[in-house]
Amino acid sequence: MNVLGAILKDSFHEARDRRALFVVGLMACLAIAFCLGLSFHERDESELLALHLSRLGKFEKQSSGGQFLQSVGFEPRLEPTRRILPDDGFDPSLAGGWTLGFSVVKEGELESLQKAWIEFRGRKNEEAGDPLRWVEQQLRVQGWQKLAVRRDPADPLRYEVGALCTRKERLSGAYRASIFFGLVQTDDEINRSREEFVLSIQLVLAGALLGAIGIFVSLLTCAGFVPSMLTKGTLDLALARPVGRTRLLLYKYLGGLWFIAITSVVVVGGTWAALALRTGVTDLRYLVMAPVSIAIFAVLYAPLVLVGVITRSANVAGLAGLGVWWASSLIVTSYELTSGFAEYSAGVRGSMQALYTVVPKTSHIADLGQRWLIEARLGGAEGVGRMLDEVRQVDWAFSLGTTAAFTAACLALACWWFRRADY
Amino acid sequence: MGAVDLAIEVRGLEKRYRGKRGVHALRGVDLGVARGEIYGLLGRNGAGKTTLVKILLDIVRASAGSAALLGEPSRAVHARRRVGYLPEDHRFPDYQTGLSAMEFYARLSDVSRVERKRRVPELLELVGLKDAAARKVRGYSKGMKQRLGLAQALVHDPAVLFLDEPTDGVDPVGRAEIRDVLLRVRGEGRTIFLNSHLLSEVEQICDRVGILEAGRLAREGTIEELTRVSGAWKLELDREADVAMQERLRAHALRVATHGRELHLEVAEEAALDRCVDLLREQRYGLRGLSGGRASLEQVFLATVEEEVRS
Ligand SMILES: Nc1ncnc2c1ncn2[C@@H]1O[C@H](COP(=O)(O)OP(=O)(O)O)[C@@H](O)[C@H]1O
Ligand SMILES: [Mg+2]
Repeated sequence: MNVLGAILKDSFHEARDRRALFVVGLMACLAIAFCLGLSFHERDESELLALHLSRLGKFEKQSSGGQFLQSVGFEPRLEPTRRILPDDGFDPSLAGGWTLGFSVVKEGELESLQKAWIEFRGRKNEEAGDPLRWVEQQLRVQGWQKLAVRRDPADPLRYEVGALCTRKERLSGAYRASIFFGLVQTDDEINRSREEFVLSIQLVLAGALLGAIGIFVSLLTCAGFVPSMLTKGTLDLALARPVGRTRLLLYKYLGGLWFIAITSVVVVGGTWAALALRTGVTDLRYLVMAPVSIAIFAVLYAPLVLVGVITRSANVAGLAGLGVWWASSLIVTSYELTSGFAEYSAGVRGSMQALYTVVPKTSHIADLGQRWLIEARLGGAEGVGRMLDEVRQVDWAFSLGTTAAFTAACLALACWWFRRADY
Repeated sequence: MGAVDLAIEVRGLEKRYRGKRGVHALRGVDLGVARGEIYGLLGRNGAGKTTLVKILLDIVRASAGSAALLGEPSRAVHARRRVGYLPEDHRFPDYQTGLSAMEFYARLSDVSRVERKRRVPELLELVGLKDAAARKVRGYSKGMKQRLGLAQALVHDPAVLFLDEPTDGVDPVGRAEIRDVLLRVRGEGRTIFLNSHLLSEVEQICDRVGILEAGRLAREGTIEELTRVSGAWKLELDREADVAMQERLRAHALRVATHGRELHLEVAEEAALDRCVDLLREQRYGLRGLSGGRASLEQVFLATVEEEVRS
């Protein structure tokens, strides 16, 4: 324990001295600050019904020429929205919904609004139907499921709307989010619930952590650990101690892992806490990204250690680590895209299969983490299903088994080399 | 002397480095150092001194022969439990401070926290680095680094201490400081194995000396034994002995040589020396001094190296 503790601490000292800790810490702070700068707003259904109704005069359409907007002066006088009561006389299927009374300024205003809309849509010859049905249709587009619009028999200028929605995330404008401390407002219609929104942010962060930024920086940070131990004149000091060479090298490997473990726990924990603080979503599953990123690093650090032991150069080792990462991603992706090179000759197929078996499949570990994050959240919601499809289906046992074998082989080879050399 | 009493034992040790030129660094070395003895290994650069020490510490592997430390084969990890090493040209990782380096190497030797708390400040004090302990090693002078190296070699209270060129590259002041520390360490009953090409250093510190030349142990013995030369004498005269005089002396002496007013004679027996002095006095040479029987370690070393090169 004494020896392991000493080497872990030493790795930390080394990382700190390299200013690596500064770079990594800066990135962690940026990620956490990004999360702290998020905000998520939710509107009540009653508020939304009034909003949708007041927007009847704002037309928009998509065409090949782009998006067209037109505003027609329509400013109804809205009464307060309230829950539908049984004696309001609406259809029983609307029970639990909202009702809202409104008055137009002059008679026939609704009909002329409908005509303007038909004109805006470019369907001049279309027969204008019942304006009440048109209003229902316009509100349905905003996400309401059940609707009834009726005239007040006692007042020719007054109408009453009954509306029901069971899937709030479908109502346009139900949720709004802003990033960078409110500097950037997202589109009004993000159509995502609070949980889905947080999930999407977490997936972006996980992607950065497991991919380009996190792994890249980690590999470059730790590339020098083993070569610096092997520096001429430094190694003698350690080898004269009663510690076997295998133990020394494996502990040094763990030293790199230790540094990355602390970093990823801080980044994942920090962003999780910041998101929880800003959105109130406290689901713990996102935290799985810490062990997942440590596992990916553990795999890629092994060839880096091997090359470090052989060449004793931090630069070569770092390049080798990145090379293994990119080459293996390339091989795994192309293998999957071509369904195992099914359409190639037997020779090509065989060698690519062999290659696929040997290389580490770190992208699968990342997938596994993201899959766990997505699957567990919001069982059947539609958006989640879409996200799930983006995660590939692979033979996990084979994939993880061969990846572990690759890691073990690299470390074993590194130890063998280290044990037999004269220094 | 039983094998168990030997702190260091080397038998028939050979080392041939792999590589294109395949340097044959050690060619069969036998050597024993008793516990508590201070042994100096002299040799030119490239003689194989460092290789010998590194084999004892399992940093380099022998091609043939055996090496043991405190009765344990040197390939065993636990043989190094009670062994300290100051490597030549060592480099502390420059992110370390004096203190953190001491802590680190102490923990590698499994020194307990309590022991470290006691020994680390004590040793830093001993080598005069107490005030510099919190500074990064990269800011240390060569002499300070060397003293820190000495402190880390002592941190786990080793029974055997290997010092490989402890004063190499250090200025005279720093060298004196290191020598002071060594003289203090000397009294603590440890076995010390000192590699050096600096004769004065070895002369001051060591009990016994070996001379390694081209991978072979050419001579070995106490400084007394090595420097005693039977039959060699140095006479100081009032003027230089002329050629005719030298010819006459050759009838009695095995070897005659002059260095200015100094006359060097090698004789088979002491009676022959007397006859030489008589001859000199007959020719009215004034005798101003007579000394003999002892060569300097430097002379012994140079003679040994020369001999080896010739053979
Ligand atoms: N790692 C090595 N690889 C190849 N040759 C070496 C190595 N280390 C030392 N040598 C060679 O072995 C010989 C002995 O070197 P060394 O033991 O360092 O001598 P010394 O310490 O007496 O100066 C030298 O000729 C040196 O060049
Ligand atoms: Mg040497």
